[in-house]
Amino acid sequence: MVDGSNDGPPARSWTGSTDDLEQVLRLAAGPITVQDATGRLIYANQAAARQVGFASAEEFLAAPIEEVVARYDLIDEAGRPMAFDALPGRRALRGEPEPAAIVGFRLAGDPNPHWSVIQATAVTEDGRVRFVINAFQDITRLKDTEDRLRVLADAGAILADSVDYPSTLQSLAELVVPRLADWCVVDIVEPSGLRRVAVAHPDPRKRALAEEIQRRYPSDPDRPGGVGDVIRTGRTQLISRVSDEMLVAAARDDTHLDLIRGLGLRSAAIVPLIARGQVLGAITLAGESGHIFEEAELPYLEDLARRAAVAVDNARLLHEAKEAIRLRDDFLAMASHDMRTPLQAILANIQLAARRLGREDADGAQREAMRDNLAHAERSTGRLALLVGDLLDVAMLRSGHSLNLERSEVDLAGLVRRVVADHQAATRIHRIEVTVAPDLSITTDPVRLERVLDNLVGNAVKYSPDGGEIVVDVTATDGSVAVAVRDQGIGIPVSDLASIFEPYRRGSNAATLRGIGLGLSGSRDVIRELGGELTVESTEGEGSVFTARLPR
Amino acid sequence: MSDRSVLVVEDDPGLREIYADVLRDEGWSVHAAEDGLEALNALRRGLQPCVALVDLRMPRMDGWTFIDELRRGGWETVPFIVLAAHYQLQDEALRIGARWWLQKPVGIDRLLATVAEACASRHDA
Repeated sequence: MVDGSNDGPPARSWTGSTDDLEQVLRLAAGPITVQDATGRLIYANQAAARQVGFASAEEFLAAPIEEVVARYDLIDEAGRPMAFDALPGRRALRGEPEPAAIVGFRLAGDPNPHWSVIQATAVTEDGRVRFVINAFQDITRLKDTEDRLRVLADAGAILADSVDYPSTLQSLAELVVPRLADWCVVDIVEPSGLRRVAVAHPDPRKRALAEEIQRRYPSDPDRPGGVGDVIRTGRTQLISRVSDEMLVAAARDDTHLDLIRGLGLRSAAIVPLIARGQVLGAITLAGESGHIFEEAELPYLEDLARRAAVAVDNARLLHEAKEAIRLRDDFLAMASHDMRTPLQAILANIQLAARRLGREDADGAQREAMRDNLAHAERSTGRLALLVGDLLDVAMLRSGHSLNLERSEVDLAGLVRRVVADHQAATRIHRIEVTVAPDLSITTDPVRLERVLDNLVGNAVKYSPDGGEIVVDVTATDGSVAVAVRDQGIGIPVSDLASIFEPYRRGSNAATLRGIGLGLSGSRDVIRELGGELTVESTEGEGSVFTARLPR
Repeated sequence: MSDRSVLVVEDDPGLREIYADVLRDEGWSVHAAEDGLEALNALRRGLQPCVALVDLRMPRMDGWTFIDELRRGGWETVPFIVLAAHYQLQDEALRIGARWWLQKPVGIDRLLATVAEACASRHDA
């Protein structure tokens, strides 16, 4: 008597012939195999043969077991290699009741594994296993979807915590590898160019190789093809099969070619990171033997990239907002400092004058002293008015407005001498020289120009704390004049020269000297409003020359 | 130590001048220095003020450093008044451990009273 070990309700008997029954099993959609008590395959239907890469069931059954086993690698649910003995059929032969497992078959030449749930059922006679039936159910698509959803969910958790986005993107790259790809590389567009913020690969030697390539042949967004193209166009690039010709075409020289061949890339997808309509960078996913990227999965990869892009964007916005608040606080602190100084002079001078006036015995000398106090107070209100004007101009320019210029014929020589005289009066350790033709006049806004020159000469004094000579040299040509302010001060480090005209910047060697007012940023903007240009030349430790060129 | 002498440490020349005027008018003798370094050099040369009036933001040597130098250089008995335009002056003064601080702009009555009080604290001690 032959019993199924299943205790379910008895099925109706098969009324057709055995041949008919075999025909049904043979053509059934799900793979079915039967092993005898020794484990030898005694039956397989068409679907089972196809599952392991045979054209027909007959071929499959005729093949020696060694050949069958050599055709595929088995992997368990977690992606680890699986022993042949762990298959449900082998376990049923050892007496385990109703064993089942999720098994991946990775066929040679097909990098994407096929997943099945295998349910084994032993058929016994007199308590001994006669044969085992293996029923397969293909869950490749289901498994894939589940994996991808899990990656998305995990990515969501990582990206939600994205204040420091380079480390977040590295975590994301490590999450994606090896579940979606063997390689994951993230490049971000920064003002200075492309920055590689993440590289993930399970093998540290491969990572080191990728880093070496990046060091010797940095990604160049202007080169055609690859990441540069994706960032320029904002469109995903799919290279399902990477051919050697492609590597040859992409290599910059023979060494580069050797190195990129060493990466072992077989398939790649480069997906743009887009947030608020802007391409922020690109994620490159690449496969060696385990992953072949197909058109159908691009929407999924683009979704993942979109989430990453939003996280990068948010992190950047947060950083910008914090920076703006810091700059505002800094600016308020400086504004408070710079405006309270003339206020102090005004208050103390007026109070002292009043006190002196109140004395019965005020003589000629006292009256002279009072006049000095009032003159000092008056000069300080001028200083304060200058500061307020600067603040308003800076606010206007920074919010994108033009200044309401009031142009007139200006005696440039007189203006320069006035500015220099004010600064010379305030310093004993500097000598300020002026060279200017006596009757040089130009048409410009005298108040604005005076503020800029005041700022430039003030800087020359401020940034030569040990004193020295400052030269203000005015030269004229037919169409323009140039006012150059040269000092022998601390100078500006080469690394800071490019950013010295940015708002709120000062040289990294000038951290302790501060002040508001136009600053260099505002000065350059004002000179541009006046139709000219402000430039700088400097050597750290030797001094700086700021030159304002204006139309006549 | 001279009884009615003030060391003024202020980088703005206009303020140096008016502080000196206000104090001299009330009979104080004044030594004015344009930054911490100049003030420190005066002390090293033997100047013995009753009190120091100190700005914070100054080139070369700022007020924070100067006050440190006072404590380290054996002048810890010289009372000092922080007179500055720092926008959170009270916090800053407490951090430094100042007993007196005045936010610019300060009226001359209050300035004179604080200088007198700080100088007198040495005789009380």
